[in-house]
Amino acid sequence: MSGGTVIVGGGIGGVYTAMNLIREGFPPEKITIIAREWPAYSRHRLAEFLSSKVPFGRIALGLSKRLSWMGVRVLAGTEAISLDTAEKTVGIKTNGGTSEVEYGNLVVATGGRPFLPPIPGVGLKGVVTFHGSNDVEFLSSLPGGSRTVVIGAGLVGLTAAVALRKLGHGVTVIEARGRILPNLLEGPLAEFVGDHLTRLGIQVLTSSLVEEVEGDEWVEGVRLRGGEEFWAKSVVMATGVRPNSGLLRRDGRPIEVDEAGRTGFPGVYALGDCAMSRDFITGEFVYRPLGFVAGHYAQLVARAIVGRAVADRGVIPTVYEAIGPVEVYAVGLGGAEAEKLGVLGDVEVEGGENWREARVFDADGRLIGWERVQSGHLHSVGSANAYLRIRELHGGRAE
Amino acid sequence: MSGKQLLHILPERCTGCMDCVKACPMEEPAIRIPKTPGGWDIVVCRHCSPAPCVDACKFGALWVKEDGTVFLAKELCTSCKACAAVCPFGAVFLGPTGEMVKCDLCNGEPKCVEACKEGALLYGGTPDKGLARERKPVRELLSIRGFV
Ligand SMILES: Cc1cc2nc3c(=O)[nH]c(=O)nc-3n(C[C@H](O)[C@H](O)[C@H](O)COP(=O)(O)OP(=O)(O)OC[C@H]3O[C@@H](n4cnc5c(N)ncnc54)[C@H](O)[C@@H]3O)c2cc1C
Repeated sequence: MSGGTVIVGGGIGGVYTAMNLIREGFPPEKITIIAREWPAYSRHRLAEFLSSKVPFGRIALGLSKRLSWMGVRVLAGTEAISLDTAEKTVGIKTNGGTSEVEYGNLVVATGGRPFLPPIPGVGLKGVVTFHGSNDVEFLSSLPGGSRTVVIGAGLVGLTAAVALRKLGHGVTVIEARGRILPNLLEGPLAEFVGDHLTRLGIQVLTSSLVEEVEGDEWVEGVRLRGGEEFWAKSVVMATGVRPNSGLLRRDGRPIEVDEAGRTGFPGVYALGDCAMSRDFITGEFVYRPLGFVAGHYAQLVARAIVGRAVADRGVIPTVYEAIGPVEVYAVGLGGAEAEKLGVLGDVEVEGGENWREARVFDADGRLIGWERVQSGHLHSVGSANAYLRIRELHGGRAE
Repeated sequence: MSGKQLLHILPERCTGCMDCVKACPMEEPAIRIPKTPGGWDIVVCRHCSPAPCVDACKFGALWVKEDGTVFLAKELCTSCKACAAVCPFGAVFLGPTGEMVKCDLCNGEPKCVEACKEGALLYGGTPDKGLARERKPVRELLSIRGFV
């Protein structure tokens, strides 16, 4: 298979890289996907997979089957365990044992894994994450009216909380930081979402640190610093994602790439939740484990592999989520991310009865982010305007 | 561009009968008629050109067909929701099973238009729509398409 392209990881990043390669004219039979899990499915539909109890086929990506039909070689149930960048080989492990696969180009699309904070008891039975179909299968099996504690109030934690509530479970969300969705929304907007969660009967605690997950073999509850206890039959850890970057680096950090997803090793590319990506507004490389980022680089990497020029400015975050009755929009940089990147100027917040909106500006008064939360049918052209405006204001360099 | 067809939306004519919603052949209707303080709104894809959703989709699941329809190919969609984040009309819906839902104009014969007895939904080329030019949604639509 020398001269062929080997893709490690059968998630969104891997599967769409294969599709884009074929679109670019790369022969399907020269593509190999090493996939621990197969068929590929979209994590983006996990909350609905849980709440609407649709069969797994509805979240599986139709593209998986299509790639096999087209002649892409899929090593399903196979894990890449080592990489020799000098010999250009990947060591793989299947049921039957280990072997090696040669590559001409290698795409590392190994995704991320949920971060588990070092809290005593996180290894107990009944403690799960909200990252894969196996997590949903466990949560679906809980008897109606169970109590669940969700630790972490990011998008993943909150969508899981709402899905569990829809199934009739008692849900408590515990967040260490001072507000929910701390990385995504400004305070007043987060508060709006919090109020609606409370109305759904979800208990939301902020500035609360979980000190221990309690139980013997099975989880029985959690204890906060300060002693307060919440009993629960299951705990969902939604405390962030860390890159699966072990094939290329040992320190657990995301794989560094250039604007086309190339790593420092000849013929080796990386994309998706295992890698860094470029922010459109600042041009800085950041860690953003989001599906559309993986999709963006799946296009660029395919282009680079077939030898087309890639001059890319990066990704404008375009987040939408429905959290119960609240629609959340976040385009561009949020205040927290802008601050981290050293570009935060003013933030303006306004709102009415059923909506709140924030605009984030840089120090020169240029729009860098736009957020809105709303309940009910109030559409705003603001998100499209913000998207186009940000592209226009900050897209100085050629695409 | 003159051969392209447009969906024209006149919410002030809408009586909220929901015939359009019932007529939509999609599993989850791609048209919604929410109540507003003064009447009804019609939320459905306006098939913008250029379309922000097409620009934001990184999975090649959205494109503009020759007749101007902004088309969503479900088998390519991952539900990352970037399209919904940038839609000016709130007209890409997140369905109850996690699939994105968007009007595809029924291959050029929109069933909602056929079903609407009030004339709140019109489908046709731009020239014969001169009469509606002063109405705001149409103006918005036309300007987004680069007509005014
Ligand atoms: C609940 C939830 C909801 C989300 N919602 C959204 C959303 O609405 N919009 C959005 O943009 N993003 C969303 N995300 C983020 C999005 O799912 C990820 O950014 C995206 O899946 C990243 O794609 P990936 O291909 O990099 O990684 P993954 O999808 O994680 O795929 C990586 C694959 O590689 C396999 N793998 C890992 N190591 C190896 C190895 N050594 N050998 C072989 N195979 C290996 C893994 O088993 C996995 O199948 C959500 C995430 C979660 C958890």
